[in-house]
Amino acid sequence: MTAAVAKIILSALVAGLLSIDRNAFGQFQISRPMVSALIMGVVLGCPVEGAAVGLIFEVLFLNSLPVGSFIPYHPLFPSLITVLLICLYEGPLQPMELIGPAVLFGMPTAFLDRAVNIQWRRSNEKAFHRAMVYLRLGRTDLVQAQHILSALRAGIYHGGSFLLTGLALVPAFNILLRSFGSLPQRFAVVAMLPFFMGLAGLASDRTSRKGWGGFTLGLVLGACVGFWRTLG
Amino acid sequence: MQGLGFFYSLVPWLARVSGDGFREACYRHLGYFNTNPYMSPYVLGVVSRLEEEGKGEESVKARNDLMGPLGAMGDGFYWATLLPVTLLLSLSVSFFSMAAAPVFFLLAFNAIHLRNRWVYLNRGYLNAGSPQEGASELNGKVLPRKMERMITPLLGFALGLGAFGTGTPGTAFLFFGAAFLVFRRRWRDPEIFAFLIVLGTVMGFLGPGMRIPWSG
Repeated sequence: MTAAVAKIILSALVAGLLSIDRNAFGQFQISRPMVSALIMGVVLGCPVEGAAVGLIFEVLFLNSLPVGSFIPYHPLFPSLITVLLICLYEGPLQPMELIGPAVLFGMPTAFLDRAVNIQWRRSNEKAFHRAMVYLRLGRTDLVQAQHILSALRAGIYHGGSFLLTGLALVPAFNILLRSFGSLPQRFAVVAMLPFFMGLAGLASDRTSRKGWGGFTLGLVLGACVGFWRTLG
Repeated sequence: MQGLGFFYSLVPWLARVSGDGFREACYRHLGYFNTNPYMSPYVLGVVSRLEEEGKGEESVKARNDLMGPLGAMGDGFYWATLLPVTLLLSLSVSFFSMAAAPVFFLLAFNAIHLRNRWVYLNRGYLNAGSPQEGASELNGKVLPRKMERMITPLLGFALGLGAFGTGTPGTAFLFFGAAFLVFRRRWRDPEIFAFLIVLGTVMGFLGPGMRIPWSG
């Protein structure tokens, strides 16, 4: 129990650090689930499942883009929560079997994450007003410090909400899976639903009369390579 | 947030070139600033040069005039083109080597945007006399327009690989077709998430066989 709580705290720290890359500093895309879920998996000791979860969420949110002033749903939080649920499961099921049910648990946290992100943006407005006051006092060093603090605040907001969500969802996930017994083995299909949903979303947005030709060509090539791989 | 970040980046330069007018220069540039984050070095270059030449008011006008066009240009390239292209390429790589996919993605995306950020800063500094013309030159020269055409073939390729990777390509293509119809109906994100959760739960209980392609 204590070990699980320690792991949730550790994962919240990782989530907080990764969320800084998302909006506040750099945007080197370490916060994309393809990378961040793998990092979380490595930290918690289940890198293969982490990488798989990252790829699934990456595709689901492929078309969710921060264009203009729109704040989109971001895959960081749900993918990390899903990895946490898989890695902290205590029971007879194999980690790969857990991906389906864990994805179902993790997906709704995208709403929570968006709400937290909006709160953080609001807190930045206050930081900006403080910076104006410091500038009137002639303290440019404190104005610059406000920028650093805003970036750190992103980590605190997201890490804190991740901690609370993890503490609530990890026990709930374990209790639910125990009551359902071996059923999650059949949920493998659920893990791949977001994958095809994400590809369909992007296809719906990007295919036009011209785009269909390229899409079909890619599909035939991909299917041929995929078929050849199944033979191998 | 970007306003503070822009100011943070500019302060060392202002301290160097403004002399006695440092405080006024700080007042000029601590304000609203919002553009695509990858394009902001261009504005930084323009403002740095104009401040260096003592054209403080012009620098504010240039900053305000450039934010919108650069935001649209940057969103169109970095978010709507480069990110999907590098992600789809990495996704295709993941079917062959799962560990290589994130490394490939980070290298590809960061190499392009870091190189471009440096180019923008230089071009902004050199084109400070006519910043709008300099910005319009970025489109097409620095930002390759043809990259967008790669998205649909890569999408098809990833779908083909993914469908066969599940071991049940028929079911996979059926899912894709059904999801495509859902998106054609222009559902909003919360509706899509809700649909996915309900469908996922139902499909989980029905339990058609499907393998996760990366499970080895």
